[in-house]
Amino acid sequence: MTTRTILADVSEGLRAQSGRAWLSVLSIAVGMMALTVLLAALGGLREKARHLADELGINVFAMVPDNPGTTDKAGDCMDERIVSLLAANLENCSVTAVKQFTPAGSDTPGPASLIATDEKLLHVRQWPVIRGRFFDAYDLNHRSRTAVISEDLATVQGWDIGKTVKLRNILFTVVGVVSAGSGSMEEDTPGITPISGRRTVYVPATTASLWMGSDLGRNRSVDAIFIRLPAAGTGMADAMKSAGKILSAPDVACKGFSWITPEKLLVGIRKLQTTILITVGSIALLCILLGGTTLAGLLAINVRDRVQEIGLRQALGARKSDIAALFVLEGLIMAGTGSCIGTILAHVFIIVARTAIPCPTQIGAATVVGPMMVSVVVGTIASYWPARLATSIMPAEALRNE
Amino acid sequence: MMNTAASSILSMTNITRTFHDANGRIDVLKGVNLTIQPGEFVIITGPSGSGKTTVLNIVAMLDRQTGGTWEFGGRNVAGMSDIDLCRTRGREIGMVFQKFHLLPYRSAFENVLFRWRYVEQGRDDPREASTQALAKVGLAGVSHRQARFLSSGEMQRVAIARAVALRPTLLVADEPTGNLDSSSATAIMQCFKDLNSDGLTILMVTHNEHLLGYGTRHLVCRDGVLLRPGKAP
Repeated sequence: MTTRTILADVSEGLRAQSGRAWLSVLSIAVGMMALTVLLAALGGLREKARHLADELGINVFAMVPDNPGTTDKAGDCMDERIVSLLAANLENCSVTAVKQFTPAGSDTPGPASLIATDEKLLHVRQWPVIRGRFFDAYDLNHRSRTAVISEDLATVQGWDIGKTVKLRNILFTVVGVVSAGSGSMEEDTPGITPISGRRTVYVPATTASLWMGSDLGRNRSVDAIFIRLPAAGTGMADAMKSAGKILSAPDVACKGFSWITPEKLLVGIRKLQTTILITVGSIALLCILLGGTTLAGLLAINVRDRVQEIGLRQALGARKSDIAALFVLEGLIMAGTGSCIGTILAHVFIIVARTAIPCPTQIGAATVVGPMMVSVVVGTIASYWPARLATSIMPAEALRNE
Repeated sequence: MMNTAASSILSMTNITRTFHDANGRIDVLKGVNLTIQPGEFVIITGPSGSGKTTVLNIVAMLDRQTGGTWEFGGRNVAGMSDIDLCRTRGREIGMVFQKFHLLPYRSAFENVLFRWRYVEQGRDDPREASTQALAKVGLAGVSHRQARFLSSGEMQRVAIARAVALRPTLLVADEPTGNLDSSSATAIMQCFKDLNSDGLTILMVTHNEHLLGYGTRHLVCRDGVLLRPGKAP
């Protein structure tokens, strides 16, 4: 059977009911459009969630002050002493801390951050070194004026290894470039800059003490403490509980801080996912149901209107399965056409209005294959009953002269 | 007699057909016996409701008998599966109907070509055979015109071309002139006559007794049985 034969057979029914056929196709197209947008949004959010979890680290949690940047800091207890306490008492965990300075300096662009930290940061955050090296114990011990920059800052500024940059009136030499996060956390969690590694210059914490003259001799405050568990997904709650006990001890009494965990970062995304699933999903489901019902109705009317044609086909040797296939094929082609139209329109809409859509979207195989598969299911279900109706027609009855 | 049955195209013995409706059982055929030899042109007449179309439907394998036995081309039809029936019907029986049953949006040529839609392609080239069939019924000039734009007489000739294009063993025609004026009816009957002269076996049902002269044998259907003319049931 050639494609031309199939199309000729299908067009036989559609020509007779072209208005209703287009209505069915349109209904399915609207449903598939909604479904494609839903899949794109869910895909985008899933990708965003993955980035967020990746950015913090699946087995990393952080401690940040509740009111960062205020003079009356409730989280004032977050200092190097606490970092040492946690490092000494949390078994098998790696602990590091960062201190943020703003503005970064005359050479750095406005949104860039200047972070002072130690050599353990690279291990705790698991960031790959793209070029050069991260600073090490030697740099810390000798207060060397070395800097490591994030990859996106290197791209934006055109900086590379060997470049000398002036940071808060001190000259530093860039010794490495690290791939330090995509900035996903910054978009979703304002004030989280010390945790995110986007557009950042890292310098040794000991060198940074040069900018903290008044703090010399005291425990230097930190803006975030990172704790890495030895293995992914195990014991985070226990580790946080242990850390909490350490911090609430009478001689420590550290309050006014929050824990940031991968799970906590995903809360907002999960809420958005649920909202989108319920709203857009309901619209998609209703439209697809409406489209499927319209299609089933159209095919049933087609069967009624084409009784004599069905009789003729049987007279010419068609089997019951041939007759059933005729209507199933018709249903599948209409559902497929509606799906193609809806999917194309949805992709155009997503591409054109991406900035106006209040959530991330992701176009990919799922947004193309998903609606296609649904259209196959809808076409098959919608045509099942009309096809059965068609096969129940007796040729002798269909071809009666009366 | 044995030899006659063995060489016949079809042989029906004591065929019955019963329908059931809300009012109960209706015995439409009450023991039909019919044998058709190759090259015959058998015309069945009879009043409405006598069962002649039911006989035709059973011969055309569009319906199954309730009782009795019959053979088509030496094969027992009662023992055929639905798929075998479809295959035999598609390949060996051509049908012409009162209402033409053409596909209105397809051309005359495409309607004839549609004859091959459900049969396996044989040695003949379908396009060539369709063209020849249309030429045979005198419609070569309108082969590309859509069926809905043809006259009734032309439509019926397209239907005949479709029926004979595959060179069937038997052509069955149910009131083929019922929807035609007298001149078109005459043309159609002449067409049948020509096809029969070429060796095609035809079984036709009609109300119109003026057409009996075209056939080689006349049977009357009355009260569910087939009789020779003038014979009481």
